[in-house]
Amino acid sequence: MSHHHDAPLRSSNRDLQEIEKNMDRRRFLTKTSLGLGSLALGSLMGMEKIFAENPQTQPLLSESTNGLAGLPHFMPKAKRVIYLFQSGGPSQLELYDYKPKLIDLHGQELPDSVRDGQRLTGMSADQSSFPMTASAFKFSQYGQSRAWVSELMPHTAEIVDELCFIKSMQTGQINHDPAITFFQTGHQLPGRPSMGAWLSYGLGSDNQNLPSFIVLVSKNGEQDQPLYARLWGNGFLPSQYQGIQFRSGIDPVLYLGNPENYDGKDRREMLDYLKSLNEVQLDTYGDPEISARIAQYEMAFRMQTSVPEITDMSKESDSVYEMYGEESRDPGTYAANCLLARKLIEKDVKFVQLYHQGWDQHGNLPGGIKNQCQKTDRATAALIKDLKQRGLLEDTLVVWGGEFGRTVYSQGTLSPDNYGRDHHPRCFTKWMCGAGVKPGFTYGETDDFGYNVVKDPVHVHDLQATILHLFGIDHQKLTYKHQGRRFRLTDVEGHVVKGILT
Amino acid sequence: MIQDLITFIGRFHPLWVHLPIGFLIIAVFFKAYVVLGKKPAMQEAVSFSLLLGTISALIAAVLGFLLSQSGGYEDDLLVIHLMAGWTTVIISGIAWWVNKNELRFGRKLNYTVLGFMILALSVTGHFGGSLTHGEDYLTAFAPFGEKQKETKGRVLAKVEDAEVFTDVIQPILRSKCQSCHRSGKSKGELNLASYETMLQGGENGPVFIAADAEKSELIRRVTLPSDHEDFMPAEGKKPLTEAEIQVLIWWIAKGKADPKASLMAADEEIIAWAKPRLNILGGEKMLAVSIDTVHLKALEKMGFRVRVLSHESGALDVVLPSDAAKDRASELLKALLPIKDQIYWLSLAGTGIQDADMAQIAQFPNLQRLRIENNPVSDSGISGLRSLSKLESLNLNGTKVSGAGLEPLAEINSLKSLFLWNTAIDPQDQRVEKISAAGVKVVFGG
Repeated sequence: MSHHHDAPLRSSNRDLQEIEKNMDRRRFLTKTSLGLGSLALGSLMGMEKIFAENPQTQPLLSESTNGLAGLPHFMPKAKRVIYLFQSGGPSQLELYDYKPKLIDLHGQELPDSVRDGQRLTGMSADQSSFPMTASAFKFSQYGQSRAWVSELMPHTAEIVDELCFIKSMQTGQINHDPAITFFQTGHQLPGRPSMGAWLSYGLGSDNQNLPSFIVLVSKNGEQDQPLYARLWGNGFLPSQYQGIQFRSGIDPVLYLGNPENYDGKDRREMLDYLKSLNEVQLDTYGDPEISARIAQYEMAFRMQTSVPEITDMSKESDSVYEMYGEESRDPGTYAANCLLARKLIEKDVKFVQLYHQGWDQHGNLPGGIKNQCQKTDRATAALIKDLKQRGLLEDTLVVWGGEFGRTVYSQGTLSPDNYGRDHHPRCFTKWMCGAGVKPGFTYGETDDFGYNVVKDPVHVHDLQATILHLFGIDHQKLTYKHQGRRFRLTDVEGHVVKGILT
Repeated sequence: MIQDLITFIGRFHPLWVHLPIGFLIIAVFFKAYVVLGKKPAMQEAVSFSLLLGTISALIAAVLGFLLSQSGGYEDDLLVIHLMAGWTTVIISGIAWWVNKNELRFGRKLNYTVLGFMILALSVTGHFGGSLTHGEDYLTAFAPFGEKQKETKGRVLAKVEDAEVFTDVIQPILRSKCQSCHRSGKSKGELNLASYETMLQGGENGPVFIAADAEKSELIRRVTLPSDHEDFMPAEGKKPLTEAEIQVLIWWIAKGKADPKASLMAADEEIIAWAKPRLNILGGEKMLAVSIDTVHLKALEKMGFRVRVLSHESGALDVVLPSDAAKDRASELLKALLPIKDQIYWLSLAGTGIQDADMAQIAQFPNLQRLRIENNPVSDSGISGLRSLSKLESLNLNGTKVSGAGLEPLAEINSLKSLFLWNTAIDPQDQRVEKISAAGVKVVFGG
């Protein structure tokens, strides 16, 4: 059975006729008087100011990718990014920032001159003592770059010659939610678009069959700190640019299959009709959310075939699972998400955002961090090796890190075999890898206490500016006008960290 | 005070002049209607229109005279415009009189006078327009004659020859300032047409003070808040862009306002901004590589994915997804020939391309990254790639390449990375070591 809706919609459909009729006397007067008023205003204020071409409010979409016309601003290095976000604040002192002098200082009070009056969180500010704590784990140097890595990350240690460590990260935020919101959206308060949304908005998509910004949250991270959808939200950008979260399970996107006993043949026809209905509404009300809705229906339709294809793991060999670790056979784990990320990147998805929670070790740090590393280390290293052998690291950027670091002093009692560390925004380590960043390189330095940056500080906005730069975007020029001002990911700050670029 | 009032009233001139133009032209149309349409009853309307035309022309002439008192107009043009205007007033008055008494003066005289009236009107209008918009306003974009002779700036042999003032600043002044400040219409007694006239300054003194951008009037005026009385360009004309202002500041501050200062001495950002705006002989690659959107759309219909990498060079990233190739890859490849110079990155992974197709790819002279992994390509095809002198990265994973196939690749001096995972090549092969020693990063994986 087939329906035909070829006749002009407006005349054939009763609902649409109703909408047309809605242009009643009141609406007519409102529209015309406003129209005349604005024309008069226009001539008073100078037509140019009102009708001037405004690239911010009237973005010209380039045909091929639906990105902004004029972007990229210059030749990019990166085509795609995998952001391995380690939520909770992994301790730099246990993983990458080796501080041998702490062994001698172990147990001594943190000098006031080092803390320099810094505000602490409510969780440790009341402590009577701030004993400096050396890492319980051994460090060694690896690779040709002789980078220091602790025994917790044996697999990452194998790939240090691919990595670019930034030891001197800094943030202004000391609590999880503002700090992670700051990292992902450029502002500590909710409401701004996330980095992935900015990139999708600016550069569009390289694969029309999949969302350009996909979010994967590990199911096997200890969910001690929540993650919010706003971390991959579109903020004030049109909503088709928000990140699409895949569920952590066998069926990452629900309801993609057709209902039982439905052969799906007239789905396309139904969507075409729905699209023309929505277009009438768009004509009438001009709400950009309607065009976002149209785009999303179309995307969902294409995902009916593209997503089952991408989540089909049957073509992956056993050696791949061995490389990523046994857990990668269990969909939704960090390891499985790393493998899925590689597959998405192979399909030219622009931004794959992983989250792995559970790095918030206020107490029982040695046990907690060991557990975290066991779940993530092997798969992280496997992902880098896999991207490299496939030639994808040439134009894929990988970023690893959390929202802040952890204090050198022990939170709670320092016992011979146990301690904790509180949030520390003044210095922490992130690493980047792949397209356009120096391999086997370390940038920035912290002091012997692992408390302050002594060389080449990198602020959150600097990192964001650098990531945009690698995509050929001038972070000062990618803006969106909202509520009367232009916004950008880096707010009014940010400098490209040229020292880490190839 | 009186002067202000005169200027205020005088400024109604450009608005008012359209009345007599309309009245006098409609009078001629009415006259034609009377004669050709044989409607003698309309004769009255002709006279009435001519009367209105004459009165409004008189008022326009008076307003015009008042406006001319505020100064800032080129004398020669002004005198012609003024004389022509008064002539129009007088002729239209005569036309009204002759037309009213057509029986006495005869039709021939009536038509002649009307003809002269339109002529006078046109001359007046033309010179009025030249006064406000500049003398070449009408002809600058005409399809005939020497067009746009100065709008693009002089032609340079190479970027290194560019001078900040002549090649970058003058075009800015031309488009943003000279509609008011030029020979012929020097508002505020300021003429920005050339370096020499700029040195003379205006009624507010010098235009710039070399090496001191902050104290320079030019910079002050363009950087004021746009609602400030002194802001330039005035009257809602298109303001200077941030980049244009930066160039001016650089030239005055660091270039010490030297008219011969080289563009190469300027900051990196300024050079990058100015480069594509220069008029370079033979159109170097960075220039004018127009991106043919129609062709790109056609490529997309065939299944290619095309992304612009750089709008300056026109560089493109072209991907043919394996499911779009459907065994037609070699046929589809031919469609890339029209953009062969623009392909910088190319991915044909898993598309089924074969040795014979390599000759096609070898024709893309600017290719930097090439992905042809997972295709039945062997040594004989790959050797054809040696002519790609800009190739930096080559992905041969899963191809039939052998150790012997590496030898021609060693000729590509630009090559930095080579991917040989899932090939029959032994990592210990001497030829692998040789190419590694030449600085190529060879990746086997596994």
